Amino acid sequence: MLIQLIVSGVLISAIYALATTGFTLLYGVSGILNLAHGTTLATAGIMAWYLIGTGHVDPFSAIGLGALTGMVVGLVTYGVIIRPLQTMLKLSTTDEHVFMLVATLLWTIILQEGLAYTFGDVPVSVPQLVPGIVEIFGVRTPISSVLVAVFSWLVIGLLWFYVSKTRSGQTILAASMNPKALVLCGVNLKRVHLVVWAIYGGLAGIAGVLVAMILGVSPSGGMELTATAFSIVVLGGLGSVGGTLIAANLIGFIETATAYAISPSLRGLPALIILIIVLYVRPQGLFGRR
Amino acid sequence: MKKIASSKALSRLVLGASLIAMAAASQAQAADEGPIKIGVMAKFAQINGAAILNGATQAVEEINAAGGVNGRKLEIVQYDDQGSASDATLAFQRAVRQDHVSAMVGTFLSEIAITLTPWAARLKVPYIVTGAGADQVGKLVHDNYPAYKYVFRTILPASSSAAGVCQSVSDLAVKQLGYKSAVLMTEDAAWTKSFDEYLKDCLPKNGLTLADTIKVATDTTDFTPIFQKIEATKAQVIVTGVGIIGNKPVVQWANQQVPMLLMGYNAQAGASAFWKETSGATQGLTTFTAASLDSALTPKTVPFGEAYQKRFNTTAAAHSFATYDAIYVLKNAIEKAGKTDADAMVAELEKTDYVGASGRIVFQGPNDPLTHDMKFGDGYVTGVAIQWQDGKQVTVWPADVAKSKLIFPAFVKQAAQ
Repeated sequence: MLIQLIVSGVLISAIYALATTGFTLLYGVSGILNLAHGTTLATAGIMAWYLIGTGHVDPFSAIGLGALTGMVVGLVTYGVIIRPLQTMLKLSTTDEHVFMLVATLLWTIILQEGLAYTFGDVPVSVPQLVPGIVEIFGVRTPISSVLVAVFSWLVIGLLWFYVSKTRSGQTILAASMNPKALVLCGVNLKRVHLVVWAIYGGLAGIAGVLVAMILGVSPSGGMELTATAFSIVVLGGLGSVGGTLIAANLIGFIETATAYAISPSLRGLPALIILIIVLYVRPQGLFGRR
Repeated sequence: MKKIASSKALSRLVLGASLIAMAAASQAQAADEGPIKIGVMAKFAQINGAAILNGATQAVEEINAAGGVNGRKLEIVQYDDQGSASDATLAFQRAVRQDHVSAMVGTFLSEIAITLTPWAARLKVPYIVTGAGADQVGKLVHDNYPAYKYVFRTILPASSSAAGVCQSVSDLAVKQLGYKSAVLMTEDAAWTKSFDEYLKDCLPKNGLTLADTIKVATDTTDFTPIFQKIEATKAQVIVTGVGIIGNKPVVQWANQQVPMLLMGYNAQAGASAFWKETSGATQGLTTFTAASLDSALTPKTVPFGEAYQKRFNTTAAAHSFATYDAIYVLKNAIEKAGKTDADAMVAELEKTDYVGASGRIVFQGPNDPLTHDMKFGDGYVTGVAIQWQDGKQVTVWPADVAKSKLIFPAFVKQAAQ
């Protein structure tokens, strides 16, 4: 059972890591907790499912189209919901946080309703990248799940390379650390935010298609995905990408261990209990900045 | 003076009473004129909800095209309950008090049907459940008869579906394939209580030992641990009872290539949209359902199935058959009662003996265990088992209407060899 647990834990954690990296990156740079995150994932997954269903798109291309969908949703969220509120209302930082939470919550409901109206409120699944199974230490595992895990870490690796090795990426990193100093250096912060929202959307889009491949997605399931992402980033430390990756693995393994050792119905519970304990003793999260 | 005052007061009282009486009379007249309103309730964005609405639409269009009911047209009033019992309760009250529907049909979730049953009694409106299977609905009517006499059901209750599953699995898995052990995997919902009880007793009696029984939460997303646990039992077939969970266990069964057949009951797999939603992962899945396009259970089954597919571009699910038949059963009751008075309609509904698209519909009486549920078995409603074969639902049970033998998905076949 231990090997089964490790294999399943590694696979699910990889998807969790990819699905939450953009969420925490966005918070780190722009200070916005996007409650429409799960629905952004679901939108990309459902679009990929729909396009594959037309018979003109294969699952590999669907990942790219999912990224594009996520990017469009991300930019629309920024352009239609976030930016107008920031420019029109001139809110204090505290008020802005509350307004953004409410606005993104309303936005997620609009997206959900739109998706349910267009495609029906049913779970849909994207076909596997490659059919077939492979034995990993005796555990029968779909080849597609292994590819999804590898692909997830590859995308996260590319993101790391971009942020730490390119000039544009380092500007984003600087914006997460000291945005005022960046403005004093002559950098257009609005442009940085635009780039971050596009990257965020792309990551969410890819993750959405991969989640649709492994677990399935539905319009009303978006909030559940947001809740999982929220738990992971709060545990890892809001805005800390490294912390989020560690927390994604932690939660992935705890959930899997619970499902195997106790009951699949209770898989989400221990992680939430740990989250509350962490909030008591280390409110900034395991790796967050105070 | 006093006499004049009192006679004025009296005449005002008489005038007031006359106005009230006239208003009441005109309302009663309005109820017996114009279209007869039938409320249809479900969550329409889901497969089963759409199936309910489509079934009602098909029946109403046919009836209106043939001249209506006693010269009056039928009119559907839609109520989307969003899968929520509180929304459903409010909508149900509005339907009766504000929209003055003559009857309600629909409801997919048993939890909602159980909530609405007392409301149908309070508001005295005939309510035909066409999607929810919990035995509790029939038991409520039985235990509270005659107060709850307004509630009927034209979809099989869970214990009857379980009987159908037991018979079909026994014939297919035990007699045809020689299987000896199974795992029962059902969702944690109101309707599976009686479903589980029946199968835990019936399957072993029919030669299929239960290696394990697993209850799955309806919000389960990852079935990997469940399937690995099932595989470890070395059972030969998984007998399911799922409706709310939808397609996730089916997709993951195919993706993870779990080497045993999925049989039993899957409420959503009866509609052709299921193939599209699962991107074909449902290949090889077998489910018990009311009827199918290729099984001529009655002379009305295939014509309805074909007309439905042509009209809605999807096959009719069990809930479509149930709602289609429910509207015809209502039509007959109104025609025989000669009016839309609730008690008169109920009296006629109780006398129903109607051959519909899903079988011969006769309701159980007040002394039967599930009052106003359909009688199940030979000569009444029997149901069929269909298997998904290359994008089509093919009837594989019972033998007299079966169109094909069972096929195996590649990963099950390899394991069986």
